[in-house]
Amino acid sequence: MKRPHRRVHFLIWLLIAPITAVVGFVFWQMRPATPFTELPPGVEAVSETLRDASEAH
Amino acid sequence: MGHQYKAVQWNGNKIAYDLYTVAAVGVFITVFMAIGLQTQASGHVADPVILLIRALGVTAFAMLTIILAIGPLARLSPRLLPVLYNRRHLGVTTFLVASAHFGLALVWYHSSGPLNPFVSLFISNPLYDSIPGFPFESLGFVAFLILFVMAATSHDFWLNNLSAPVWKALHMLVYPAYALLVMHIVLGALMTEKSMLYPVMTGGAFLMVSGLHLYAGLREWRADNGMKLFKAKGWIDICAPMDIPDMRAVIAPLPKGDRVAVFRYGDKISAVTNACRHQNGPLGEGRVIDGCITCPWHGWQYRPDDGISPPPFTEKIATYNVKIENDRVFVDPKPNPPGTRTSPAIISMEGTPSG
Repeated sequence: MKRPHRRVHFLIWLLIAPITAVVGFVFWQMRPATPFTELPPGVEAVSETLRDASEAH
Repeated sequence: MGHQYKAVQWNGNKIAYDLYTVAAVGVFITVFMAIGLQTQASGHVADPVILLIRALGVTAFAMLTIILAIGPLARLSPRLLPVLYNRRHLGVTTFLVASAHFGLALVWYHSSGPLNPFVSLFISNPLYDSIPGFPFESLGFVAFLILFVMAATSHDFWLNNLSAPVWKALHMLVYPAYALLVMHIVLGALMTEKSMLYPVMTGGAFLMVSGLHLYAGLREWRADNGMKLFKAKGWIDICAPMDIPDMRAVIAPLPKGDRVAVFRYGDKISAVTNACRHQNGPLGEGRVIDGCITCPWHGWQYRPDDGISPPPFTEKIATYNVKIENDRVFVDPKPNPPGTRTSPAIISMEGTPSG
């Protein structure tokens, strides 16, 4: 009987750890109220409506 | 299987362990709720249901973090091997807490509309191309499905039916599930969280678990590579006979990626596969107890010379031919069929340490 070699565990973590850490950190940096924020389309639409209304006045 | 192993998992030890676990979960959730209600009361009215959903989620994530740390910690320090004994019960408890988190969130956020709650979970928020608005619930749902499959197949019935390698490979899905949960938290709770406590705790937990796995794996990889495989007429030179501690083993890598556990018991040396029939546990990290090789994980036992469990059990593991020449232990890398009797190599007086 052949067991999954423990190197498989190591290689899986070698793949998962950096990807999750980097992607997680980058996404966290893009949360609202940070300079990297990407506003959801719905919020941007409301924002544009408000801006247009403000300019109209 | 060994005579010390009980097929029925419920015994006094496990019942006490489960009661302590449930009590710890209850205390953690209560304290979390109390602190949450206390700290948020001054700002805005904290909804107890939403706080409970979060408390259950934090508890499940913390439990999964502990579970994932147990494996590498036990590999780094044999003193922690007993913790492995109850890991499956802790895993099932984690699934139950995660179920409560999932169920409550589904009812609270997705059951009041005309859509099926499961459909609503995936389409009520269509912002899949956005980062701050991403429907993070979908990531948690996939992770929950993996935990469900693992909990459903956690019993030895499934281990025996699926075979140990398949079962182990299936349960290694917990690694991507954990990564999905990290992203579920990052894209969910952390998007609106003002305090640095949650990001630090989540990042710290993930770095600890991944760091432990990488460190333990790297150490074993180096140990394998450090074993210089000298072949003499097809046999592999393992070590000197007295380099093997009495009643214990030296683990050596084989050319095809398997490992052999070479045991010394008194003046005899025998070699068997390093993989236990139960859960592929590392037999070479166990000891010879009552004349039988005893797996450190759950106590399954095998006779060193033929790899057969003592009666009334019938499990068999592969054995390897061993010989001693010029005060060196040699192993034939070709495994014998499971249960094949081999002659133990006998250590002569020349093999005993002088002085």
